[in-house]
Amino acid sequence: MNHFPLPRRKLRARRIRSIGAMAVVCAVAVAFDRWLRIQLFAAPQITGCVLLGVLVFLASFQWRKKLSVVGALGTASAWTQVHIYTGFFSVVLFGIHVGWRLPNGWLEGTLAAFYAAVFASGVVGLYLTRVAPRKLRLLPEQVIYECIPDEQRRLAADARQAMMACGGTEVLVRFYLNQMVPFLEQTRSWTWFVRPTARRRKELVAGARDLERYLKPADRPMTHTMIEWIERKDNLDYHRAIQGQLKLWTLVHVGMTYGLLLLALIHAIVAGAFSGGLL
Amino acid sequence: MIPNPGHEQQDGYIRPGQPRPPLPQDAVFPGIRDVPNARRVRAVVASSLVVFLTGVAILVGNSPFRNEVLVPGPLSSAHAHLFRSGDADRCKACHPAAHESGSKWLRGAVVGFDSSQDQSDLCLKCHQDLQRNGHGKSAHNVGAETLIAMRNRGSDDATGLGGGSMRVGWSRDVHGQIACRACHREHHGDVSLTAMSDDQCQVCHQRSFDSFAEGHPEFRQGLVRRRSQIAFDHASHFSRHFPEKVAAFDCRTCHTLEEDGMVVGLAHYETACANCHDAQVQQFADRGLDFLVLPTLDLQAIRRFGLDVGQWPVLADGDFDGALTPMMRLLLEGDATEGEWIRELDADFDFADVDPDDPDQVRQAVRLVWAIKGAVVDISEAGRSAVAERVARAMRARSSVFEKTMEVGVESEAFRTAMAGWFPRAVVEVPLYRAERERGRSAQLDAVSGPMANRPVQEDDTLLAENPLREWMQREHAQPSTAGSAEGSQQKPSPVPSNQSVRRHDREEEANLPDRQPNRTGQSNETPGQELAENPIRKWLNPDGSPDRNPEDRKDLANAGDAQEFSIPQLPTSETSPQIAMENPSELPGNPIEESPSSIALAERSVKWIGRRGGWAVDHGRMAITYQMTGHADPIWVAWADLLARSEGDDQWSSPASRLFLQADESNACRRCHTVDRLANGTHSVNWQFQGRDPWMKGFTDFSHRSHVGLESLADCQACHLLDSNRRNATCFAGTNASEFISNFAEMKKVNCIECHGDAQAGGRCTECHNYHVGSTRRVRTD
Repeated sequence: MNHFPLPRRKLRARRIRSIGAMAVVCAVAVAFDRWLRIQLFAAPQITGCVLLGVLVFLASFQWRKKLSVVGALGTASAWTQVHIYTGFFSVVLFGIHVGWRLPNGWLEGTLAAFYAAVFASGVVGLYLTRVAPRKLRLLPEQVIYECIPDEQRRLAADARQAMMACGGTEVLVRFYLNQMVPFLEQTRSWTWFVRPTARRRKELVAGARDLERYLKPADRPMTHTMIEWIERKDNLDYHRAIQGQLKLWTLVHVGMTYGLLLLALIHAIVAGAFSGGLL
Repeated sequence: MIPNPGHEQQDGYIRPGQPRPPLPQDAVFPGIRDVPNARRVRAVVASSLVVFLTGVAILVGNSPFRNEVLVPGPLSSAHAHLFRSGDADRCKACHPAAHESGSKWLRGAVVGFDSSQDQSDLCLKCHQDLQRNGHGKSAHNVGAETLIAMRNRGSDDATGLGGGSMRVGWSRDVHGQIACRACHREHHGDVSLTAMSDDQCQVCHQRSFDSFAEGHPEFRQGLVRRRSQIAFDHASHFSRHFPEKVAAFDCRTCHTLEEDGMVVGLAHYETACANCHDAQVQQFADRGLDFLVLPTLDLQAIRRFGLDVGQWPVLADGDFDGALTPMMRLLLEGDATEGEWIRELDADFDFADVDPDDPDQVRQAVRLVWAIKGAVVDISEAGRSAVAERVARAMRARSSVFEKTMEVGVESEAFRTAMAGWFPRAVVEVPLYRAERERGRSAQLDAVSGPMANRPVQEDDTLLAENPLREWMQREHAQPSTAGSAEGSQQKPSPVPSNQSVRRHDREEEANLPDRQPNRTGQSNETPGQELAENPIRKWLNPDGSPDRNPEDRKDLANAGDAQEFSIPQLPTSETSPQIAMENPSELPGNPIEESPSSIALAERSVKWIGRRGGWAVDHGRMAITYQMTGHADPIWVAWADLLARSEGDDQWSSPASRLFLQADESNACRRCHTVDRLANGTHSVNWQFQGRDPWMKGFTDFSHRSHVGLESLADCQACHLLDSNRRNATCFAGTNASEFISNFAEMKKVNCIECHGDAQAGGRCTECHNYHVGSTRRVRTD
């Protein structure tokens, strides 16, 4: 099944074109820096200004929705593609700017650490945005992140109401109260959201199936309903975990971006002032 | 796809706002937590982070740790040791921004600060050696005019210099000059601050080339820009003089490598030259240097016009004759009252040119004679300080050369001895003459010079009453009347102002000269006949009938300072023996001229050696104060020659002061080897030593001989310095333009260097041979 909006062949062609364009831009940047240094221009200042502009451009990706002018310039997909490749280009530009050495001043070191964190979070985000949709698309229903708690509550309420209506045996009720309620009516621990597994779901499903042989024939269909509840709750949790990871990544990436911009601005002012002015 | 609130989406997504079954009222599940509002959390976290970082920045910016936080990296070792790590002000040493508050940094980051000193100026505060001539931030630390001149010197832009058209962009400072940081990037730790690529060197050079092997201009202008300071014709010495001496011409006899291998020194005179040339030098030294020579005067002509020169030695009576020696002229030009018009005299003025029938010329000659006597009196009394005053006045400036010369100065004892022997009354006559001349200046200056000198000394003369030679003067005038004094007695005495300033002769100094006073007193009571019969020169030359002293004895005595052994001769003067002055001296008994086989021989024998520092002598035969040099590199001669050469001059040796040096070195003994350069300020400098390379001076090109001569193929100097015996250059050392010369050596060719300095072997980078910063590297301030 092809889940990509574009055919794989077209996607590969687009990727090759993008990587090629980025390679050309990187080569131009390296050559430009070499030319600046040979011509005895203040190359770090010039590349620093370009890098600051690139960072601002990258940060404007999240302003796309807020600024209508920016948002009107291309689709979200195009913006994402440009954002990704510009982010990779910024690595080359950063290396050129610092002379391919590790900064060893406090301010520069902190700034480099912020840049590294933002870039790393961007790479992680690129991975998540590539993997998470595939994982979520495998689930039977798609729930937007903000709707998940209500869906879980609705599921828990439906389950409670169904159990009260069925008037089942003690074994069934005990299983529901002891096993199902903590699962259906509780939010799972944060460790599970970091690394979601199907172990709990499998245990409950296995428990429900084991329960079936102790039930009267009239109550046995109830176990199938309970298994559906377990699977739906687990799917909702999985949605919550995967989407939560995406939300957390966005939080880190965007938050660090603002810090990066602030430090970059301070660095630019200090570097400009202590080198005698840009102009 | 844009969501459509209120309608079920067809993509199966459950979205907020979509119609979903309502939650039961009792569906309260505290265990199910709401998801946080991601957008709100993101805004809170981002703004919190920004606020936090801003606060930290403000705190750090105003804390004592600001420098530690803002510094972009460690300094290079060349600078790191200059600053203590905890010094809060250390950034201010290099950055104007450190002097400003943080609020001004934003503007400073864009347009710089309004400070009068930019960052490069602060660099140059320590690197003062680069700031010489005010070109600290100019290309190569030289002016644009110099660069253009260098470019134009190449016939086809061989140097490839771009002249003043520098193309360095943002690396200029706020004043538009090249900033130090254009090439030197600090705060990168122990990374070389001076590393430059060939491409960077060629930023400013209009003619670009790939490497030394490919495209570098040929050495068309030669590697040597000026002649050697020591005149030496390699070709003639190689092809003629050394073969005549059957000696091997080995370059390394004279040229030695210094410790750093960068400097080719020249061996000392004693090692390199003395073997062949010392006899010539010693001959010049033995002949001596006339410091002051009395001219001979036609006293009859002088008296004929009612003029007088006062007491004057009889041996200097004759026709007008005698030139002014260079040092004598310099001292006369420094006369406080007479120097101005003496400077106007022709440089080759000679008393022989005075027409004895022209009253004006005779009057001027008399005036000059009084100036000479005044100089002798002044120096006799005040010694070195009088010389210093006169020289400073004549040269209108005091320089290091002047100070050096005044350290050696002259031997004032020689002047005292000369005055006592030639005109002892000058100590009285000169002040009187000056006083009278000062009084008569408003009337007829030139009319008062004559009679005053013969003015009889009055008993109640206040000047004489105070004069230490009063007693001597009284005895002098107690003698039988002479023609001169008779003439003088007919003149009305000129009153001398009671406040007349006359420098006293130092009584203590007189007391320390036991051979002077007895002679004066002893000689003065003798009649002229007795004086001539017992000629003091004869007595001195042969006090006990022993043979004449030989020069070696004189030297020994002079060096030992044993002046007491000699008596100062009291020579006959025109006043003490007027008959001698008026009659033919050769017919008089005891006349030294008659006794000596020749006047030259007499002069040599009548020399009185004075002083402790060497060869000062009073030659009573020639009426001269002479300095006989101790040999090569005599310090007194060197000092005076330097001083004379540094006096004002123009393009050539045409100024009077400059010609003094030529006259002093009339035998060309010094200038045969030591060239004279005209300096940029118009003065001249005698090159006493080979300058080689100043180890502190960096030129555009560096070359280490040591690293090259170690190679077997280059061990022979002529492997590179090919001597062309047809290129004689002996004549090019006579002028004063050091850049006009002929080299004895064939032009070097680049191809010889490329054998090794291709890209593969020794390398052909620009900085292998060339420096960017040129000039002296002395005096680097480190505080």
